[in-house]
Amino acid sequence: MNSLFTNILSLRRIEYLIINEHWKIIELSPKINTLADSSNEIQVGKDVRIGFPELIGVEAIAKDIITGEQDNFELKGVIRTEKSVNPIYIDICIANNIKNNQISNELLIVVEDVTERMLLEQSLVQGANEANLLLRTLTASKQYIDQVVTSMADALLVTTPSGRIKTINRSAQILLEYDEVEICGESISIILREIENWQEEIEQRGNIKTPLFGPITPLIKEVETFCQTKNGNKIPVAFSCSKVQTEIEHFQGYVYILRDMTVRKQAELAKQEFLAMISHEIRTPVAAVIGIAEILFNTDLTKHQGELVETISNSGKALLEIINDILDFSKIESGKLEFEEEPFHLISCIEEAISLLAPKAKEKGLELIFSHNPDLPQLIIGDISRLRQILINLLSNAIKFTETGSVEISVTSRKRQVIGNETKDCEIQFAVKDTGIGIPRNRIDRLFKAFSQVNSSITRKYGGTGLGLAICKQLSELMGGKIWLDSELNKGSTFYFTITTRVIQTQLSKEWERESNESDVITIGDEVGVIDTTIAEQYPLKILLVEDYATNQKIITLMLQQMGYQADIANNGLEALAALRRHSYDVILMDMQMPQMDGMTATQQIIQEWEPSVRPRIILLTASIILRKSTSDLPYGIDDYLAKPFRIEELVQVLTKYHLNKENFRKVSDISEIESHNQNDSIIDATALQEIYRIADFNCAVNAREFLIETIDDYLEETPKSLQDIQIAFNKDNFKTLQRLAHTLSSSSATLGASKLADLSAQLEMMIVSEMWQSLPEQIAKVEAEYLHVKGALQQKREKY
Amino acid sequence: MSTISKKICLIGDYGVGKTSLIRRFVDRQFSDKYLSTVGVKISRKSVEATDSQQQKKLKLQLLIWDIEGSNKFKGISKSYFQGATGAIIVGDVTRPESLDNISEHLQRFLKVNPQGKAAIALNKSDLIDAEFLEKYRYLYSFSNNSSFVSTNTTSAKTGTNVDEIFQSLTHSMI
Repeated sequence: MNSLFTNILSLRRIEYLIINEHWKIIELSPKINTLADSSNEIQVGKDVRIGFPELIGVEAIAKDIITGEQDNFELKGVIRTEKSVNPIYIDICIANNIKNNQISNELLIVVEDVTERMLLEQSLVQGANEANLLLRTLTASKQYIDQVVTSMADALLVTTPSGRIKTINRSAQILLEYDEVEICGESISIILREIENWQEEIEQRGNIKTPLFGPITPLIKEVETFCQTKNGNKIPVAFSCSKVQTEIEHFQGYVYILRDMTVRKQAELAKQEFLAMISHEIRTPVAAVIGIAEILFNTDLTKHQGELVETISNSGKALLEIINDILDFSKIESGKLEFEEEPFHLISCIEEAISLLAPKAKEKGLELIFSHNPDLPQLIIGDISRLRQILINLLSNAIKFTETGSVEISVTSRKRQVIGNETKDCEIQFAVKDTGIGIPRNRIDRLFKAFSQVNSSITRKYGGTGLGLAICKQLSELMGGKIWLDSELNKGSTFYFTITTRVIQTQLSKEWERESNESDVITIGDEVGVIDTTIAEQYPLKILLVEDYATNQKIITLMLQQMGYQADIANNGLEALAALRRHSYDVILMDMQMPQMDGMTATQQIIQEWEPSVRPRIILLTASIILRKSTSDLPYGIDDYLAKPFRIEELVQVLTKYHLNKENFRKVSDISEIESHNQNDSIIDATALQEIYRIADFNCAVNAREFLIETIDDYLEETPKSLQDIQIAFNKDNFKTLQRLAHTLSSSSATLGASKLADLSAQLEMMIVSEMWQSLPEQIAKVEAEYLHVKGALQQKREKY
Repeated sequence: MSTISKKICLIGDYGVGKTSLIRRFVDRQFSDKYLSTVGVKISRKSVEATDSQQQKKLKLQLLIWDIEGSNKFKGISKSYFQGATGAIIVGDVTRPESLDNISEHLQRFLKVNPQGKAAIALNKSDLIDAEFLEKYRYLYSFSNNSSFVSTNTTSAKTGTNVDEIFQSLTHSMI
């Protein structure tokens, strides 16, 4: 071929080959081998298909081109890749090698380098394909999410960062009665009126970063509120809200999920009402059973009858317990349980629980051990009764399911990290370990579920509702802790639970110091001294605190708790009397100044109403030091006093003096004690009258002088009558009346300072109680004689005022 | 030539995995990266096959034509199919439309090569639950067609059924 022509073609990267009908190369252009698959094989005489393997399979076509049936054949975009060079693309065209306008049996193969074009095409196609694939995936993804959102039964709303509603799903449309179109653009607050209250919390929780997905918000707990529908209906809903944070601003905002609570609320209400009604309906007769059983128990019964009545009473109490458990459980479930946040003494609380169950443990011959680390906080804030409830439940179970061995309670504490506004800086862990029957491993998870026990044979053998542990779990969780256990069959179980709390040991004394300008306030030293916490054990006493000032109530109660006592409280004399009529107490801590009925009056009433053998010891809490130091000069009925401010050690002293075993009353020996107290020889103790005067003086509405005179007059009028009655009663062998009269005489005489007369009357009373009938006449005579002296002395004193 | 050369084409929509199947079969490799094929790339692989009739072991050279996926810019040139003994039509199980186009690709191939053999590869089987794969295999079998060899669910990524499909096609071409 013409070399010029060849050169031109070559410059345009076009090469050629001429082959015969047997595919052998006849002629070739100089640079054709650069476009061949293997350059060495392109030689005249060789099969072209070696260098151009893409020609394999074109045989049939080639024949047609030779015969003229087909003009040409093209293969475009064949890629050549060789390891060391960049790929090249070629177009191949096969045509008849026409010579002199006549077809021949030779084929012309033209090969063109089309790399540039193909590379361009590649980018174009690549871009388009990728975009399509991406679009496809996105569409599918969006469809999927849309489906999920649409089919949600809960209402879903999406808002912009500023709170404008963007989307709502179908359930939301139905619930809120709005079309999507109507509501888009409106603020979320037209649906959720109080949303601002929660904004801050949502923001606060906003920034937990996850490694893969960027920051996410955990949904805040479901909050119960009301939503407003288009027609103005208020529907109770539970809503949760989450912040959506992506990089694209258009895709940010908040997601709200609303759940219609109407049915749930109605059900809850119905349940509460039902429970309240049921509890009342059941409690009333049960209380009657218990009450009447108690009354019956105190009547004349044979031993056998007594046992039967006790059974009735115990069953009644057990039933009441079950009802209370059920109510507790239901209250906790519906979130209605209220917890106290009061300071209390931790160890006392534990010891109370222990002492309640000690008898049962003793009965079974089980050892009860209590151990704690020495730096356990003394005073913590929380709900003492709920904590005690858990302990009692666990201890009761431990004892119930243990035949031999021991039950050990151990307590440890540790500081915990405080986050934000939290105040609970301490975690306390309790462990109740028993050597009982244990629990099989596969039953452990059922244990804390309501109404389930390990198995039904347990219910039959040991009784119980199966609520106890469920309640313990709820209570401990509500107190910021958790509950769990270890157990081994036939070896025993250890139940653990924790609570979180705030330690306030030092804080309490600071509180007291702040109010120390008031004279009536008790202050305590800077240290709460180390007090023996087993005092209550050694000297068991039922204590009534009669005091109206709240701070003092708290302080004294705490002092008592430190010693291990749990005192009852009355706010004034009237309440004290009411309390005494309900229970018997060993000791009364009586404040002097109280509204409605003051301490002195109350004391008088108590002396009148109850015999010395059953009467509580009265310890006066007085703000003044008018009372002398010796106890012999105390007004009759007052056994001791504490001058405010007093230290806890003084309280300890006073209480331990008056520990009393309830069954004992003062025997004959006490009589001599009373006698020896009568040091004062004067008939009338002037200070007693002064005391009356002083007490009256405190009361602004009363003229002290007149009051005193009146008091003396009353006494002088009443006493002769009493003496007469005493005589009559004695004659009639009416010893109960006689005792009462002697008692009254004694107390009234003491009030007016006629201590000798008071003592004689008291002795008389003692004799009656001790059934010393022979000594009575003589004693009565002494009393009468002494009265005459008293009468004279009082009249004298009376003149002075 | 000492060995017999057989041309087979891989046909299918763009992005279904034709290039990856060949790469797995010939180079024993796989890459996640997507690079659109333009034009055609021809790979060679020698295989052994047994001629059941003549009880002879044959050495074959497969010329595997990796043809660009069909796209909106232009249709596939029929010239590529010229002289092919067999074809593997490839579809992507995660893209139903690519599966729907299998039948069309098959027709176009058979038009140029009425005597040709075709196997169907339902590729990217690793992305779908096994329970669906059976369903698809059944759906995309053309057993009433004499050219039909088999339908396999393949995964160029894991290698599942890749060798099998080439082998079954090769076997049918003897």
